[in-house]
Amino acid sequence: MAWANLARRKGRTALTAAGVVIGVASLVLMVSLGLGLQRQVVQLFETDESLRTLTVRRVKGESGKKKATPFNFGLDGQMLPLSDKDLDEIRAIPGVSSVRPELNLFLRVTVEGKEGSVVYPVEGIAADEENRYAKHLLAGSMWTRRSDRVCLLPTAFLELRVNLKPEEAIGRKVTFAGFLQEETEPAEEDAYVVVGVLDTEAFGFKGRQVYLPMEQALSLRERKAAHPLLPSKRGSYLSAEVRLADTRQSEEVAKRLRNAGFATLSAVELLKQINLIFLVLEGFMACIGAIGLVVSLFGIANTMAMAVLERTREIGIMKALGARNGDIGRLFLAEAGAIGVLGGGIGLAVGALIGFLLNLIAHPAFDLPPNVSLFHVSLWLATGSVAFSAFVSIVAGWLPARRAARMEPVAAVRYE
Amino acid sequence: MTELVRTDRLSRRYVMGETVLSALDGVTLSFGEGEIAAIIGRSGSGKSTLLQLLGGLDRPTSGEVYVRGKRLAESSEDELALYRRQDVGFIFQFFNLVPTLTALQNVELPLTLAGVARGERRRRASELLDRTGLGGRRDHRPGQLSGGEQQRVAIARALVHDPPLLLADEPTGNLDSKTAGEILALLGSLSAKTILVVTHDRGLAESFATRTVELVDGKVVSDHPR
Repeated sequence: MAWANLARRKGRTALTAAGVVIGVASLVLMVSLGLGLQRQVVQLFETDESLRTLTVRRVKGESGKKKATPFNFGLDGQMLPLSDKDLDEIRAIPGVSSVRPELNLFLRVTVEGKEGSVVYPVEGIAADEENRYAKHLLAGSMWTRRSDRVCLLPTAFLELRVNLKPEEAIGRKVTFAGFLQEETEPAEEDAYVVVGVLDTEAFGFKGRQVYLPMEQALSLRERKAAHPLLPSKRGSYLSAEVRLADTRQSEEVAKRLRNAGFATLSAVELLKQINLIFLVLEGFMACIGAIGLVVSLFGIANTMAMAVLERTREIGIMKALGARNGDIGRLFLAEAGAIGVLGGGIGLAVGALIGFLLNLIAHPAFDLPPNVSLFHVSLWLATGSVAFSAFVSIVAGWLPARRAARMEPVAAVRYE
Repeated sequence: MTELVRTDRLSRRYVMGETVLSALDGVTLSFGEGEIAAIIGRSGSGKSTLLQLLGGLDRPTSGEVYVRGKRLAESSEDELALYRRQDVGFIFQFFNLVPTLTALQNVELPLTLAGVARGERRRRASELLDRTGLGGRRDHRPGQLSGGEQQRVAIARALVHDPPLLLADEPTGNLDSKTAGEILALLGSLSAKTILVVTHDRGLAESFATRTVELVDGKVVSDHPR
C-alpha cells in the first residue's frame, strides 16, 4: 500500500528520492574510496607468508619491551645491529620455526636488454628456506648450486618496472650497482643470471624484493652497501625475519621476543594499525558523504507533511473503517522508509557506477595493475548505506506520521 | 426486539472561540437488532453528529452510548477502532472511497485493516460487489464510476465485514431520484441488520424506514414507528 501511494505521486516522490540518491551516492563514493585504498594496503600484508613472519631488531635498554608501531619501530631506543649470536638466541625461542637475517640492501638493478635502472631491495635466501620459495615460482626454477651467480626476480618487479613476462626474464643477466654509485660499465662479478620468477602475490610486501642465495647476497652487501651507519659486515644485521611455526602464535611469540630485548613488528600488528587509521579515515569520509543525506531528510519531512495534509480525508476514511492510530502512523512511516530505500538503492547504484567508471579512468592514468581497484563497494557498505538511508527517512517521516495518526476521524470525513 | 445500541442523555458541544455550539442536547434513544430507522432533521439539527457518536467516530461531551450494554466511553482509542472495524459499517453522502484504489480494493479495505488473508478478502469483496450489481466493474477506480455506482461500492465496503450496525449519512443526498430509489431498495434488501439512515428528506425516510426519529436543534422532537 505504501508503494502504491508513492506511485500515485511519481513526480514528487522522484524529486524527494533524488535528494536521497545524491546523498547516498556521495556517501558510497567517499567510503568506497577509503575501502578501496584500505584493501590495496591490506592485501600487501594479508598473505599467508606475511602473517607468518615477524621482523625483529635489537634495541638497547627497555624500549624493546614496548609494542612497536610502524612509526617507532626500533627508532625510539638506540638501535643495535643483530649478531649471529642474537639470531641463535631467537631461534631458541618457542614458536619460532626459522630466522633469516635481513640485509635491508637497496641496489641499482639493471636488466639485460632493458634501458635504465631501478633501485630495488635485495635479500638473501638461506639454504633451509629454498624449498619454500621454490613452491611459488611462476617461471624457471630454484638455483641448483648456491655458488653460482644467480637470482630470483619477483613478478611485481617485472610487471611494474621493466615490463617483461616471467618467461622472458629467465636467462637474462641482471647487474647490481651501489645505490649512489655512478652508472659505469658493470663489473663481471656484479652480474647475475635470472633463474626463476617469484610470485609477488604469495609473499605480500616481501614479494617485492630480488632474492639471491644468502652467501651471494652477503658478499654483495659487503661490496655495495652505501650507508656507513648501516651494518654491512657478515655477522651484523639491521633486522631479521622470524618465521612462526603457527600463524596464530604471532602475538605470543612477539611478546617473548620483546621480553628477550628485541623490538618486533608483525603484519598482524601493522594490519591492526592500518585498519584503525582507515576506519578513522572512512568515518570522516562517511560524515562528509552523509551531509547530503541529512539535507535530503528535510525534503522527506516536507513531502510527508504535505502528503498528510493532502490525504486528511483518506486518513479519516481509513479510521472510519477501523484503522487504528498505529496503522495510520505505520503507513506513513512505511512511505517515508520506502522513499529512503528507493533513493538509497538508486544512490548505491549511482555511487557504485561512478566508482566503477573512475576505476576505469584511473587504471591507465595511474598505471595500476589490473587487480587493483581504487573504489571498492563492500557488502557492508552496500547494505549499510541503504539501511542508513531508510533509517534517516523514517526519522524524517516521524513527525508527519504522528500527526496523521492523531488526526480526528470526524474532522477528516465531515466536509466535502 | 433485542437492543443493540442505546444512548443516554447524549450531548455533544463544540467550542468555537467564544461561543459554544450545542450540536446534540440530551438525546436518549434505543435501537433494536434488525431495526431500520430514519433520522431526519434539517441541516445543523445534529443528526450527523448523532451518527458519528453511535459509530464511535467521535466522543460525546456528556451522556453515554451503550453497545450491547457496554459503555463506549470506556473504550480506548484502539478499542474504538476495533468497534468500528467489527461492528459498524459506514455509508457517507460523498461516498468517501479512496480514489487511488480500485472498486475491489476499496471494498477489501476493512478486511485489509483487520488483517484478513488476501484470498479470503478477494472472495468476500467480489461476492459483495456482485450482490450490489457491480461485479463487472471491480477493477475500475472511483473516478471511472458514476455517483450511484460509487455509492454501491461504498455499500459493499460497509457490508464486507458483516457488521450488525449500518450507519448511513445522507446516502442518497448526492444522487438523482431514480438512483436514490435504487440505493434505498438495495439497503432495504439487507435483512437482519440494524440500519440507521440520516436524511433531510421526510418522504424518502418514510418510504423505507420502519421508524422515524426527528431532530431539531439537537433534541428529539418526534419518534414514530410507521
